[in-house]
Amino acid sequence: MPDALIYDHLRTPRGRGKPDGALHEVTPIRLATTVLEAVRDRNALDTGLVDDVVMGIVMPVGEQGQCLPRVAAIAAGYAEETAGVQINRFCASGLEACNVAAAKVMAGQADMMVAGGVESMSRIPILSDGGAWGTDPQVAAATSFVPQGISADLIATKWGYSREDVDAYAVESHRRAARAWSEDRFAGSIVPVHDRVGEVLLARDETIRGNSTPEDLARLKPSFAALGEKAGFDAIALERYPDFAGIRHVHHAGNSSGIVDGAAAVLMGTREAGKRAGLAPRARIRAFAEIGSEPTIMLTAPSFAAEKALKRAGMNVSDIDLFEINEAFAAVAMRFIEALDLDPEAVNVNGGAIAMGHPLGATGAMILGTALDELERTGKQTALVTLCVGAGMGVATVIERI
Amino acid sequence: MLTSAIDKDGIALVTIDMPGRSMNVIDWAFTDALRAEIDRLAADPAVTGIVLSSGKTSFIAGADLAIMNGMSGPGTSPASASERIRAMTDAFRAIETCGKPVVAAASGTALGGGLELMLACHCRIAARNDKARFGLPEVTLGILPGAGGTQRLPRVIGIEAALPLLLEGRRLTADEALALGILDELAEPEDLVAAAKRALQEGRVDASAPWDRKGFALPGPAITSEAASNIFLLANAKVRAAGQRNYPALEAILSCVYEGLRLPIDKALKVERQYFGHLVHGDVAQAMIRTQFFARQRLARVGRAGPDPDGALASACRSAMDAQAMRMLTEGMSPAFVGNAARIVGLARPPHLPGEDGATHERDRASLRPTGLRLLRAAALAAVAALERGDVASAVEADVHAIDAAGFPVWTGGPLSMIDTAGAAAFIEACRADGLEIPVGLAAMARDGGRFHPNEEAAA
Repeated sequence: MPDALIYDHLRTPRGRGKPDGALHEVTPIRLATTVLEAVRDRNALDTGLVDDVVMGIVMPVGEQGQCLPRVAAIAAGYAEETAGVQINRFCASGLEACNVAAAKVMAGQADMMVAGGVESMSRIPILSDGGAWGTDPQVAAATSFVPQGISADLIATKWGYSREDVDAYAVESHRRAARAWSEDRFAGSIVPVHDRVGEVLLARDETIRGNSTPEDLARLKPSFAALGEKAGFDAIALERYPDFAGIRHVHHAGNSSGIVDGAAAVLMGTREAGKRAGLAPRARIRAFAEIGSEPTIMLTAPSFAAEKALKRAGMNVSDIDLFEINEAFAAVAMRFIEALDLDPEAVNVNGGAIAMGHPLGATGAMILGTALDELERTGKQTALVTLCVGAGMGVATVIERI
Repeated sequence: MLTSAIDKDGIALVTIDMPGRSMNVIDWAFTDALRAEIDRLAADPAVTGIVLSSGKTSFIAGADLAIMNGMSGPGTSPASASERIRAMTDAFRAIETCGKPVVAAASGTALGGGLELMLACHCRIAARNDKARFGLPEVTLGILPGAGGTQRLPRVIGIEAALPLLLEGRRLTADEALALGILDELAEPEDLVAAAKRALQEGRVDASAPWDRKGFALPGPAITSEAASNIFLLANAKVRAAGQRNYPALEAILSCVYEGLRLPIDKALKVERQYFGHLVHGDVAQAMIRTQFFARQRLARVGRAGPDPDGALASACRSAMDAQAMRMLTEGMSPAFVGNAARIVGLARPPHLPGEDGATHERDRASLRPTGLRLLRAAALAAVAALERGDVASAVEADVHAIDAAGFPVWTGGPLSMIDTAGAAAFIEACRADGLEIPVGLAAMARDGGRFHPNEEAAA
């Protein structure tokens, strides 16, 4: 079986996903072409070698629809032979895109791939794609649907994370992200986004507040109390978790992932294809896994996915030097750390989505790159990257430097 | 029961007047007669328009619930029940598509099938009548308006306004129904028929429903809009939290609207009658119709309808549940678990429990509903004992008072209906598994294959 090797990766900075965000004026397809052009140009890549562009897009509708990756590849001037495909595994789509690309390489059915993702959440808002899960009455009932924020609060309830605990986690995410930027730790992988006349629109992640304090966060109202208590979702959650008399609502905008715009690309291929392109491999995909779990608590699957991927790799938790867990909500990362009994100093060392945001389709590819950069910076070898996913899924990928 | 008079303008005045009844109700004979009359008038070239009116002070009180009996029990299925209700759906659809303008002129109350019939007319006029009520209360009996109500009401007034009416079964005054757009016009009682004829003479009534015309747009948010998605998201949660899936009609009504509004009306009516078939064939609807309609009607007739919260039956049920809850705590269940178990089976009042602290080991959530049912079974045994002691006069009274005074869940039809639904033998077996003591009389009833409510009683 050929190894799937990572040759390069890069991402745009993440812009606040609102009309006043720096990337709001940039179309999602231009976010995609920005990273496709950059990964080609800085590797002097003959795109005729690239079989396929696999991108995660979670709201593939409107200007983000229509198999955007293929159209973006043509628009970016890639070879006509380079195909493109959009995939959706909710929040893990960017990592899933990397896994799908790696799987094609490992199966001997592709030589060179670009994986990644894009999401302009300011232009194509979350839930733009409709869907049956919470809205079709039969489906909502059969699946005990609750919104993710209720699930996150349920995790906090079940494992006893207080409001102070989750706020402290959020403050630390901002502190770490600010430190990473001040020490230029992301410099090798950031592609600034320019406007039409070449001015830089955004060169740094826009939502980091390095001076954020627990006192600031304590003032924010819980975001999901009304949905839980008034709209009835707490009752649905308690039906599945009946040993609790109520749900502790601790999450709010300040300790949940930010809504942002951004795109990412990862260049992957076989050893031979890399040689033909004159590229040096930086890491190898050791293993990956996806898993489903109880859908009402929904967001605890990262540890299950991690264990499954590690088993597949023949590794133990102790064999992993660095962990990246998407900070969808503070309690998700905290539960992951607790479930695998990890040293918090080895997890999200450069901050996460609470500080920098979570551009749904792109995040997985972004944090895979963040993990690789940090391995290289610190001279370490192995990293595990994972995200929680709607409807109770989890995805994890293990990489190893070469 | 139907008489028609055609005036010089060719307007046929059809008067609905069921002999020997104080109010009109819809049964199969009426359905067939209505269908035949509409077909006849549609084929008569002299007829230019039709007015449907009532010979009574109310329009139509609803369906004759005796027709629901033929839709459950041996030899029936959801499919056969769905096929049976089709006669009514098709008769109403025949009004809508007869090719001539039809005006409903309601002298008073139109509930359930009565309002569904009005919704199938091209124009709805009601008399100013303080006593008149308009609504689709089927949900309160565990069923849904299966003759077009879930499809036409949202098409007339929009999803957002229709859902609460369908899900709560609320009865509106004529003014409220006019304000919502369910009625097109109010008239003085003595002017009602003339007003209906004027609407026809002045050409204000189309001979087709808006949804049968090209370019029809639902009032309010489109069914495929994000706004509609949000309405359903919240409505789904609301009915789940309120009903805990004990009332299948709630989900079925939501699904009829969610699925049906995406379809042309004929396919939509098919979806509706299939959900209806499942409901009417199910135990919950049968128990609710038995207790919430027939039993209450009977008690009202003999003047024994008032609940008695301090009565012997209610106290016995409540203390049986309290005792059972205490036993559950000694078995290691947390107070939260027992409270959630009571909530999930729909107990209006949870049993008395000590403080919420001291949560013990986590329990299998699969045991939650069985735990709640155990509370209900304990209360049901207390009701059996109360009946044996003569604390209540009849099984009918025991069921109604347990619901009203002890908060016993409505979906069961009451404690004795719950035993009948399970069958006494199966009920006793479940009680034994719970460690509950079986009264001698109940064991004898199980041996004899007896029931608290004779089968034919529901048809009374």
